[in-house]
Amino acid sequence: MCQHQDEFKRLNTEVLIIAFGALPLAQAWLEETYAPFRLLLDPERTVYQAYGLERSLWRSWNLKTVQRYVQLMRDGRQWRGIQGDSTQLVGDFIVDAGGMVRLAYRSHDPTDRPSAEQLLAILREPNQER
Amino acid sequence: MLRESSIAPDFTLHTVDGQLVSLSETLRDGHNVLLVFLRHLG
Repeated sequence: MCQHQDEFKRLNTEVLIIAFGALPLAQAWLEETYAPFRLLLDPERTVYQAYGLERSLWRSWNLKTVQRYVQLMRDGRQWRGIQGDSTQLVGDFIVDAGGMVRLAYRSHDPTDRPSAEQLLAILREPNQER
Repeated sequence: MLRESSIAPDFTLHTVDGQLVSLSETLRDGHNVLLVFLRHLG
Protein backbone atom coordinates (compact mmCIF):
# COMPACT_ATOMS: atom_id res chain seq x y z
CA MET A 1 0.00 0.00 0.00
CA CYS A 2 2.74 2.45 1.00
CA GLN A 3 4.56 1.92 -2.30
CA HIS A 4 1.45 3.15 -4.12
CA GLN A 5 1.14 6.38 -2.17
CA ASP A 6 1.76 8.56 -5.23
CA GLU A 7 -0.84 6.71 -7.30
CA PHE A 8 -3.50 7.12 -4.59
CA LYS A 9 -2.65 10.81 -4.48
CA ARG A 10 -2.85 11.07 -8.26
CA LEU A 11 -6.32 9.52 -8.07
CA ASN A 12 -7.30 12.19 -5.53
CA THR A 13 -7.68 9.62 -2.79
CA GLU A 14 -6.89 10.10 0.86
CA VAL A 15 -5.99 6.93 2.71
CA LEU A 16 -7.17 6.81 6.32
CA ILE A 17 -5.95 3.94 8.48
CA ILE A 18 -8.20 3.06 11.41
CA ALA A 19 -6.96 1.04 14.38
CA PHE A 20 -8.47 0.05 17.72
CA GLY A 21 -5.28 -0.53 19.66
CA ALA A 22 -4.02 1.77 22.38
CA LEU A 23 -2.03 4.87 21.43
CA PRO A 24 1.44 3.38 22.10
CA LEU A 25 0.61 0.40 19.88
CA ALA A 26 -0.57 2.68 17.08
CA GLN A 27 2.55 4.82 17.34
CA ALA A 28 4.73 1.72 17.23
CA TRP A 29 2.87 0.52 14.13
CA LEU A 30 3.56 3.83 12.40
CA GLU A 31 7.24 3.71 13.33
CA GLU A 32 7.64 0.13 12.15
CA THR A 33 5.77 0.47 8.88
CA TYR A 34 6.73 4.05 7.91
CA ALA A 35 3.16 4.34 6.67
CA PRO A 36 2.72 7.79 5.13
CA PHE A 37 -1.00 7.89 5.89
CA ARG A 38 -3.02 9.33 8.75
CA LEU A 39 -3.73 6.79 11.48
CA LEU A 40 -7.01 7.23 13.35
CA LEU A 41 -7.84 5.64 16.68
CA ASP A 42 -11.16 3.92 17.32
CA PRO A 43 -10.64 2.25 20.71
CA GLU A 44 -14.37 1.61 21.20
CA ARG A 45 -14.59 0.20 17.66
CA THR A 46 -17.73 2.23 16.97
CA VAL A 47 -16.67 2.86 13.37
CA TYR A 48 -15.83 -0.82 12.91
CA GLN A 49 -19.39 -1.58 13.96
CA ALA A 50 -20.90 1.19 11.82
CA TYR A 51 -19.20 -0.33 8.78
CA GLY A 52 -20.45 -3.81 9.62
CA LEU A 53 -17.13 -5.42 10.50
CA GLU A 54 -17.76 -8.63 12.36
CA ARG A 55 -16.04 -10.38 15.25
CA SER A 56 -15.06 -14.02 15.08
CA LEU A 57 -12.59 -15.97 17.18
CA TRP A 58 -12.13 -18.75 14.62
CA ARG A 59 -11.77 -16.50 11.61
CA SER A 60 -9.41 -14.17 13.53
CA TRP A 61 -7.03 -16.88 14.63
CA ASN A 62 -6.98 -19.45 11.87
CA LEU A 63 -3.75 -21.05 10.62
CA LYS A 64 -3.28 -18.52 7.82
CA THR A 65 -3.44 -15.65 10.30
CA VAL A 66 -0.87 -17.22 12.61
CA GLN A 67 1.42 -17.91 9.64
CA ARG A 68 1.02 -14.30 8.48
CA TYR A 69 1.90 -12.93 11.92
CA VAL A 70 4.96 -15.19 12.14
CA GLN A 71 6.08 -13.92 8.72
CA LEU A 72 5.60 -10.29 9.78
CA MET A 73 7.73 -10.87 12.88
CA ARG A 74 10.42 -12.55 10.76
CA ASP A 75 10.35 -9.38 8.67
CA GLY A 76 11.15 -7.33 11.75
CA ARG A 77 7.77 -6.44 13.16
CA GLN A 78 7.45 -6.76 16.92
CA TRP A 79 4.64 -8.67 18.61
CA ARG A 80 3.26 -6.53 21.42
CA GLY A 81 0.67 -8.91 22.72
CA ILE A 82 -3.05 -8.93 22.25
CA GLN A 83 -4.64 -5.56 22.89
CA GLY A 84 -8.29 -4.79 22.52
CA ASP A 85 -10.71 -7.29 21.08
CA SER A 86 -8.65 -10.00 19.39
CA THR A 87 -11.74 -11.32 17.59
CA GLN A 88 -12.35 -8.09 15.66
CA LEU A 89 -12.21 -8.58 11.91
CA VAL A 90 -11.12 -5.96 9.43
CA GLY A 91 -11.94 -4.58 6.01
CA ASP A 92 -11.36 -1.96 3.35
CA PHE A 93 -13.84 0.59 2.06
CA ILE A 94 -13.65 3.09 -0.77
CA VAL A 95 -15.89 6.13 -0.42
CA ASP A 96 -16.13 8.46 -3.39
CA ALA A 97 -16.11 12.23 -3.08
CA GLY A 98 -19.92 12.23 -3.05
CA GLY A 99 -19.95 10.06 0.07
CA MET A 100 -21.05 6.89 -1.72
CA VAL A 101 -19.50 3.55 -0.88
CA ARG A 102 -17.80 2.16 -4.01
CA LEU A 103 -16.15 -0.80 -2.31
CA ALA A 104 -17.26 -2.57 0.86
CA TYR A 105 -14.75 -5.36 1.46
CA ARG A 106 -15.14 -7.22 4.72
CA SER A 107 -12.28 -9.64 5.22
CA HIS A 108 -13.05 -13.29 5.86
CA ASP A 109 -9.95 -13.41 8.05
CA PRO A 110 -7.08 -10.96 8.73
CA THR A 111 -5.05 -12.24 5.77
CA ASP A 112 -7.91 -11.63 3.34
CA ARG A 113 -7.35 -8.09 2.05
CA PRO A 114 -7.74 -6.62 -1.44
CA SER A 115 -4.43 -5.82 -3.09
CA ALA A 116 -3.36 -2.25 -3.73
CA GLU A 117 -3.79 -2.96 -7.44
CA GLN A 118 -7.41 -4.03 -6.91
CA LEU A 119 -8.11 -0.88 -4.92
CA LEU A 120 -6.48 1.35 -7.51
CA ALA A 121 -8.44 -0.34 -10.30
CA ILE A 122 -11.71 0.59 -8.57
CA LEU A 123 -10.54 4.16 -8.10
CA ARG A 124 -9.70 4.38 -11.80
CA GLU A 125 -13.22 3.31 -12.83
CA PRO A 126 -15.59 6.05 -13.93
CA ASN A 127 -17.56 7.27 -10.94
CA GLN A 128 -20.84 5.47 -11.32
CA GLU A 129 -23.07 3.22 -9.31
CA ARG A 130 -21.66 -0.28 -9.15
CA MET B 1 -25.45 -3.86 6.64
CA LEU B 2 -23.59 -1.13 4.78
CA ARG B 3 -23.41 -1.97 1.10
CA GLU B 4 -21.87 -0.55 -2.05
CA SER B 5 -23.82 2.37 -3.55
CA SER B 6 -25.09 3.41 -0.13
CA ILE B 7 -23.96 6.52 1.70
CA ALA B 8 -21.00 5.95 4.00
CA PRO B 9 -21.64 6.63 7.69
CA ASP B 10 -19.85 9.75 8.84
CA PHE B 11 -17.45 9.58 11.77
CA THR B 12 -14.97 11.72 13.64
CA LEU B 13 -11.88 10.20 15.23
CA HIS B 14 -8.59 11.39 16.69
CA THR B 15 -5.30 10.76 14.93
CA VAL B 16 -2.31 9.54 16.91
CA ASP B 17 -1.22 13.19 16.95
CA GLY B 18 -4.47 14.27 18.60
CA GLN B 19 -6.01 15.91 15.53
CA LEU B 20 -9.70 15.38 14.87
CA VAL B 21 -10.50 13.93 11.45
CA SER B 22 -13.97 13.40 10.08
CA LEU B 23 -14.98 11.54 6.96
CA SER B 24 -17.34 14.32 5.87
CA GLU B 25 -14.69 17.02 6.09
CA THR B 26 -12.22 14.91 4.17
CA LEU B 27 -14.81 14.33 1.46
CA ARG B 28 -15.68 18.03 1.44
CA ASP B 29 -12.20 18.70 0.18
CA GLY B 30 -13.16 16.73 -2.94
CA HIS B 31 -11.19 13.62 -2.11
CA ASN B 32 -12.13 10.00 -2.44
CA VAL B 33 -11.33 8.18 0.78
CA LEU B 34 -9.90 4.71 1.27
CA LEU B 35 -10.61 3.40 4.75
CA VAL B 36 -8.28 0.62 5.90
CA PHE B 37 -9.34 -1.03 9.14
CA LEU B 38 -6.45 -2.68 11.02
CA ARG B 39 -5.93 -5.09 13.87
CA HIS B 40 -2.73 -5.83 15.77
CA LEU B 41 0.06 -6.12 13.21
CA GLY B 42 -2.01 -4.88 10.33
